[in-house]
Amino acid sequence: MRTALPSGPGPVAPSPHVAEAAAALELRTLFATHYASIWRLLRRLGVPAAQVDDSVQEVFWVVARKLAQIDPGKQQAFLYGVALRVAASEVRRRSQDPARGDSEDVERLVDERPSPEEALEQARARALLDSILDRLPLELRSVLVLFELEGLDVRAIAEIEAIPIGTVGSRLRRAREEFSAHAKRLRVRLQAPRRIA
Amino acid sequence: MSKRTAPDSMDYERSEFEHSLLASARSDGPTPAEVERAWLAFEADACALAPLLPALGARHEAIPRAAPSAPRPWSATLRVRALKWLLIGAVGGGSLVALWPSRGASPVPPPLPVAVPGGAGTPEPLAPIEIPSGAEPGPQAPAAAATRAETAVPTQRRAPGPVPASPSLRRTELPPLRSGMTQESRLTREVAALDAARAALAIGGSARALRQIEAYHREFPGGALEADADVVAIEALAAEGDQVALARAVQRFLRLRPRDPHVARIREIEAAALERRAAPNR
Repeated sequence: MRTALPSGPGPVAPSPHVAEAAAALELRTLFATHYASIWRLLRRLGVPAAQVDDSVQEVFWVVARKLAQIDPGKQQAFLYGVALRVAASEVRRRSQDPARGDSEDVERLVDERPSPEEALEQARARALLDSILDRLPLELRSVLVLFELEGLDVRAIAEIEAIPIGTVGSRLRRAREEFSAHAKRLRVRLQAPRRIA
Repeated sequence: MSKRTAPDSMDYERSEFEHSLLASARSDGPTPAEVERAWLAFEADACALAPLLPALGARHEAIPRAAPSAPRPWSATLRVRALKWLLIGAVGGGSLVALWPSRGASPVPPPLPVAVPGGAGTPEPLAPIEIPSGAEPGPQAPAAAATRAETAVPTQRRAPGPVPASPSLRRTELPPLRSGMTQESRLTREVAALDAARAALAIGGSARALRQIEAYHREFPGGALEADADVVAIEALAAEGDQVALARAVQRFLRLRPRDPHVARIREIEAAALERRAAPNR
């Protein structure tokens, strides 16, 4: 929420310094409030674990620079929008240099952990989730993550993605279909007998 | 932007396996302590990049340099990216540093707040700004000071490139430290204390800002950021409309720090206050 500056007939109009201090305070508040959710969003959008801290900071660099231009009440949408662009950029870089990716991959997970029960362990489940999300095109992945994981409604997603609400709906439907199909295939593989080296 | 509070028509049947995968992501993320560390690193990087800004026309004077010895958890890649964003920002007319008043400097005078006039010899200590009687003393130090990690601490302001520091100006020597307190931790706490005062002032809490400045002077007698503290106090007095206390504080500041980089800012505040006072009579 944008910090309200003193108004009305005060003895001295707010100086530029006061306005700057308010902006700094707002930035700090945004950082404290949204850092974790932006971190999760970037992670789920495919930014490798080793780089996600850097990418979150990159998001906040952009926000810091643009803060004065963001309309009140739109900070979160702006943050998410920047995060989507940063993630897209990171994913693009990663696709050009696969060595930048996480060391974990689903093949190893499947080989070493055949039990579906064990797959419910949180960390491993996240790795599996990411392996599925990695298979979705970014435009579907982002809508799915924003809707299913961040809990945003279609109107908010349309605003962030700058696309019509109907497009959000159709992308969400396709994303779910693909997600379900990949999840089913992964589950089958997890249930298959362990390979013997 | 709204979040869904209840299932809506977009919800769909998903298997338990899918549900468990999606649920696993919700518990992911940094801890509050990690967020705080990230903030400190973010702040420190903003300070570290400040020297690169003058050529771009940014007001880098407002940002102090982070301590060279401070831990730098962020990668070189990130700094390159941050610089990229700053470059883009400068071209686009934005400036991160405009958001960084928490280091207490003014865009008008090039700040060198830890420098005092006089050349050799011990600098004359500046008495704390007198707090109007209506402002009662507050807590000793803001809570934020206690919570800040002792990393990425700006140790001293940098003389800005375009306006080289006068040879007659020299760095203030900090008073002896308490046992167990490092120079960096002291400065971290000083910065946090001033940040709190500025934050209070930013939201209209001038009386509170004055109390916090008073607490700063009690906590850090002869502190490295005394000039900054006095500037905040003068701004707060101007906001309070206390012309007498303001004039007294300005005069004392000018007498004790006639060549301080904040002088132009001090005069600006005083002029604005006088103008405001005279306006109804016009």
